[in-house]
Amino acid sequence: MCWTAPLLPSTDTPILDDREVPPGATQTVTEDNTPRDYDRLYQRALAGPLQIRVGLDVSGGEVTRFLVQLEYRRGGSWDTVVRYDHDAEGSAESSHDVTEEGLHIDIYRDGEKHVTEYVVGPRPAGIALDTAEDHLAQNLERFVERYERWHDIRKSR
Amino acid sequence: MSKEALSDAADEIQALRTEVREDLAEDLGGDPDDHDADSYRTDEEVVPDGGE
Repeated sequence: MCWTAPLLPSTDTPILDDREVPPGATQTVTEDNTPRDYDRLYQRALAGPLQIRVGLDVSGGEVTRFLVQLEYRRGGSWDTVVRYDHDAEGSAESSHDVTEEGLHIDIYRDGEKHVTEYVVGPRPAGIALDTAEDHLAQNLERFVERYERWHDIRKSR
Repeated sequence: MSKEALSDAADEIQALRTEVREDLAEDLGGDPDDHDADSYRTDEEVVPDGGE
């Protein structure tokens, strides 16, 4: 499988790459050409100025690392709104091992991590990944409205 | 964003969620439902975001 979308600058997506996806399109990468070496990377344009990126690694029959990130297009770049992550090896300083620490959400404001909140206790990483996606969908309205309020964005978009 | 757009976006995330579960089953074996948080047995409630 290969990428088909053009590059797009991004200001706050240090883990994943910076590619724009047409509305409704999906990208899945399973080859070694994935930036930042996720085994699978999904990037989907959502309604309005939103997109979601999901990256995951699988090894030894388990999900060893994942990231679920909601982004909001503002001023020609993508800002992170919220992020969930897991790293079984703890190689990233700010990452969490969901099988030991449980699932957390990082909430962003003004391009920086504002706060980290507990979501649910320890669970298998594959289940935690699904939990993160569901938590994002269930709380999307609250996350986006808060982001827009924090950044003085009108709701008419 | 309008309520309608937010609802559409949430639906799109749920669709992606299904796709990821199917890919996990392909990578790890088993059934997509094996990776479904809704079927994971626990007494603990997921905490809605606070974050202010």
